[in-house]
Amino acid sequence: MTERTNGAALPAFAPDAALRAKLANLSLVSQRPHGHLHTGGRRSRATGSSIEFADHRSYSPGDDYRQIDWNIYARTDELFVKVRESEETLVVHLLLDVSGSMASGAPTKFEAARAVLAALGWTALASRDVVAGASLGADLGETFAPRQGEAYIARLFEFLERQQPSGETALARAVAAYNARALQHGVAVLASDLLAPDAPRAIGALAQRGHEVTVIHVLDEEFVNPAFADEVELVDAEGGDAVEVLGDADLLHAYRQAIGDWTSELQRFCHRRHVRYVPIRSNWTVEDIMLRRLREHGTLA
Amino acid sequence: MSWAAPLAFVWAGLTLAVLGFYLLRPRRQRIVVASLLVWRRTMRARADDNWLAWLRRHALLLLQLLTVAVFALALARPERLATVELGPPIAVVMDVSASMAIADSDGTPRIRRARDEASAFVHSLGDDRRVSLITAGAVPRTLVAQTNDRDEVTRMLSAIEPEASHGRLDAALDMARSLANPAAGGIVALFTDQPPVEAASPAFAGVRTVVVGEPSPNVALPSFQVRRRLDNPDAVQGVVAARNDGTTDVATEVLVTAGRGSPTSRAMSLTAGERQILVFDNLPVAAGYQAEVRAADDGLSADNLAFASLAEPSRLSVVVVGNDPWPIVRALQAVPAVTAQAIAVDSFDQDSSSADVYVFQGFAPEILPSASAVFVQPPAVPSLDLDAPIAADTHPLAVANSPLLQSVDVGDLVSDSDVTYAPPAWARVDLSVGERALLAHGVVAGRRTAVIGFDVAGAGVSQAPWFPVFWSNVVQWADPFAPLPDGAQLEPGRPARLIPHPQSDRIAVTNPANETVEFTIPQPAVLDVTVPGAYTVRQFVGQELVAQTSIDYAPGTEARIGLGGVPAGTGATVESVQRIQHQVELWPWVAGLALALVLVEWWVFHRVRGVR
Repeated sequence: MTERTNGAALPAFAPDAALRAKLANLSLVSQRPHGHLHTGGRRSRATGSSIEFADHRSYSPGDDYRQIDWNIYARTDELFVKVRESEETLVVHLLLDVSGSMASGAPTKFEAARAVLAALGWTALASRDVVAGASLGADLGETFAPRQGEAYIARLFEFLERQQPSGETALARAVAAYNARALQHGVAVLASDLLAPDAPRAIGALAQRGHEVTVIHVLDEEFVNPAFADEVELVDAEGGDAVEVLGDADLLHAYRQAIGDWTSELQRFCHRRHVRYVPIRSNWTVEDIMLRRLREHGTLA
Repeated sequence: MSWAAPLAFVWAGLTLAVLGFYLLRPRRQRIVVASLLVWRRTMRARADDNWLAWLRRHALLLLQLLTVAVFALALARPERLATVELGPPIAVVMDVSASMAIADSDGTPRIRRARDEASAFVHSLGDDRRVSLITAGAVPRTLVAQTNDRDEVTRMLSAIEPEASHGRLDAALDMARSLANPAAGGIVALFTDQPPVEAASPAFAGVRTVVVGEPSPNVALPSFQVRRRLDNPDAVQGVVAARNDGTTDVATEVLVTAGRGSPTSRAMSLTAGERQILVFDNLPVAAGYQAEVRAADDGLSADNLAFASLAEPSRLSVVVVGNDPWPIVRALQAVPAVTAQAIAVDSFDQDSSSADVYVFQGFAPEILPSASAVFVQPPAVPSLDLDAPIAADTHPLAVANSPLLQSVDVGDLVSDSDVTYAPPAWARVDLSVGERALLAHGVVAGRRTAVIGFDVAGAGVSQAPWFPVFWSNVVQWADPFAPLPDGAQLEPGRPARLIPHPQSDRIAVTNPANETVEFTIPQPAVLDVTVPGAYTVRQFVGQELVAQTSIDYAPGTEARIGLGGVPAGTGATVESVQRIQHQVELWPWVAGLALALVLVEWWVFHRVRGVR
């Protein structure tokens, strides 16, 4: 079914009306101020010039004398300035892995990742957050310039719709290129299968850039629990490399154990860098991911 | 380790077929995966890139190659030399002579008693003892040789029955010694009804004899001969020898029957062990004669009969072809019933030959006549495999029991003109000089043939007293009408080969029961004696009867059976242990290994690599 928002047809990966209704009460969580001067849709711990009073503090030279509370001066003969709460604008970076490995699975990991990012983008734009985005492959792909407001939902969906999985993965290089764009830090959501040796480096680079990073680790069931027997030749979807394996029970068991070790390593790595690690399966519903998984991991609230 | 069939290693070439099938196998399935990142980690974790991983991947191929190789190994029949400790060999000799059929007073035949004793003896032996079983009949036979299978020995023992003949214990014991020599720690156990007096002879040395049977009266006819009376050729004189083998005196009656006529009887009394000879004069001329001795309670009837025929000498026509035939002719003229004739070499016409025996002196015709042939110093005769003669240079050595040299003293047989020949395969050597023959005889191409290398015309030979005897022996042996060769011993179970007349094309043998068996020449003709009596051999040329011979067979004297004895000798112990080396075949183990490999390969295929 195709829905329309602001007169434009919604792509299939976009959240439907029911999900949007549920997402309406949610917003992305930012646990620390990111110091943006734009007036946004969320309160900030930073003080600013908005009308919301927050506190008083002693006057310091250089303070705006218009903020001096003369009533207090009259009573105490000391200069205090009014501290007002700032309404901060959060920048949400939606980073989509578009490497060839994302094309596997049923449904594909790419479809799942795109649908989640679309829902997150809708949530962010609806919350008057600024949404930026990029596709990451062998290098930095197409970017979505920072936009604020629901008016850009359709543009965001169009951006996501144009992305297709192909090519090799070089997440670290692509993230480095994205960081070099000098965008404001905020909440970065990376949706990827992380099937690249440099994936931890890419995550670390995002965190080091000052983002509050959420990694949505998308895996498909076929990848996690392969079901084949006898001798097979496994071909890498990206590089074309091949290995011969004997699909006996021992090997499959060892593989599943290696999957567990790998994801555990990633999880520990993310934890050390205060990065939210959210493992999902491509066959999970977007609603389940948004309303349960991401909320459990504190990405949405 | 050695190989009994090393050529079977060719089967190892099947490994090439296995490799071929491996190379031609369906390619493995290609599966595209998102990334090999985790797979490589998995294989690193399992060290899958080392040789063990390679072995695991190619386990089936390796198992198949190994199976083929092991099967080839099994087919090559590997064997190794092993040392085995065995107890000393034991030979059980069972007397199966006719007397063993006698039943004792309780009705038990001696053979059954002997079988029981032998069976108990065999089962009392340790498992490491190898047992041979030999029957001592007219022809000793080995029924079981060197086996540890007691059941097989028992089974063969139970099948032993007495024969209608005497038992050749000496020959059977010789056979037993070859299998279990007492001098080398073996044991020969004889189960017989022979008396101790015979068991004490040298033939029984070292033999543990178990005597069965109770004393039994027995009379026998050891010999019976007939001949024309010298004073009256129309009358026949029969000489019968009768013997009492029992332990008590017996009154006997001896009967002699000429042909189908009425028997002539004599009564006499024989004390224990006594032998008497009776002469029956004025018997009528008949084709055959039968003698029989009768006594009350005689334990064995098989030795009560004897047969004889008038030995009518054949009238032989002998032609001597040579340039100096007369010494030979003169010698032949002294031989009864022989007509000798001399022909010069130039006058010999091989197309008109009709004599029974030809003597060729110093030459050999291209085509031999259908008669017996005696060659005197012939040149090389390729058709007889006779090479060129070589002058003899030393004294000849006479072979014992030569039919041509009976009553002949060859001590003075030395001449510079003697020649020798390489003995042909068909010939039996009578006089030898080194490896060569000075005198030989045999049957070749259905013809009795003799080769004489010494100079019969020499003064030292033709004048020798034995010279006529020698030629008498030659023509007697060369008599083409005598179907049974001299010296042939008739034994039940041992058919005697008959030598037909060179002209005859058919031989008919009639046994005492008037059953006739015919043989068409060149089909081998045999005389198989089964029952005592006269066997008639008739030779034909077409429908014409050319010769008829009567051959008498009597089982011979049965041993003295009356003395009996007490079973002894069972339970003998043997201390010596024999270590022998023998080849142990290993192929059953290798074949078992190959089958196990097949099972492992099956298990690996279905359980480890199977589709799930």
